[in-house]
Amino acid sequence: MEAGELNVQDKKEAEAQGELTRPGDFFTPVADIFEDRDSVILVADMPGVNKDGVTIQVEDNKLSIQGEVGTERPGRPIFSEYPIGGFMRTFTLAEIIDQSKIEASIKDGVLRVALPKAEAGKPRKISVKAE
Amino acid sequence: MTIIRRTTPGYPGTYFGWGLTDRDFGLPVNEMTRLFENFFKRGYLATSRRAFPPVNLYEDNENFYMTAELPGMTEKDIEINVEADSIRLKGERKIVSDECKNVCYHRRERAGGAFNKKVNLRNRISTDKVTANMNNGVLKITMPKTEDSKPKKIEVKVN
Repeated sequence: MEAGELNVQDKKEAEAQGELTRPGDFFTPVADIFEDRDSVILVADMPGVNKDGVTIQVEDNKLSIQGEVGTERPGRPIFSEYPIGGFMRTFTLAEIIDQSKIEASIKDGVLRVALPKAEAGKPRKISVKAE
Repeated sequence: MTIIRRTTPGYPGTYFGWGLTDRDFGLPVNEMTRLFENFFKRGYLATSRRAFPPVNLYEDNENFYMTAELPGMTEKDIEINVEADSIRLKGERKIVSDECKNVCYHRRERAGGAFNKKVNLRNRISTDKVTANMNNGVLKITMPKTEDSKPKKIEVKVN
């Protein structure tokens, strides 16, 4: 195998909190999470999901993302290397997030959620007074 | 998206079935290799040796269809090479963007890199009529069957 060659990342079935009452399979999307001074940014691969299929919820310190995909297939399946299903994942937020300013966008099947830190959670510089 | 079409003479007996892929080792990828790889993948080697992107194949009476998940990629990032009995996807998935500088990563799961995957087809396709589109990070290639690959209906006459 050549160096730097890209391999398939197998889809993992999502572990739901409680049993799912909806039909269809759900998978855990692979995600990057990074943080800069002002916000925490989450990027998740959700191929096949469009704007209308995304649900994002923040409750206490839990962030849930969910993506629905269409179930139509072009024809009779004859060979399959990947399963098709929705995406679902929950993250625990360590930072204090300003929930009113969360922004999310999806482009080419990649979801990006920007979670701005609340003032209380931002690093602050404390000036020391000289006496 | 570039679609490069080539009509090469077929070599009967060299079709290895649907979707069995090779990485240009020039070796036939047969069922034995597949079993071997599956065995190691399940039991011993944690890493998958299958090439990106994963593909699914479908058919109806007129066409074969191939779908591939390529999140974050657009038409411009992919080169599709079509031959009479195989299809090749080439490109590079780039993950790093400007915003990733000067930040602290908590988690990095998304993988990037170059890919070059060939899928051998069992049946022949009309290379000049192959079309492709990208939608929400999913590539779909429509490959019309040649006349002799289509199912035929044979009328039975009763005298």
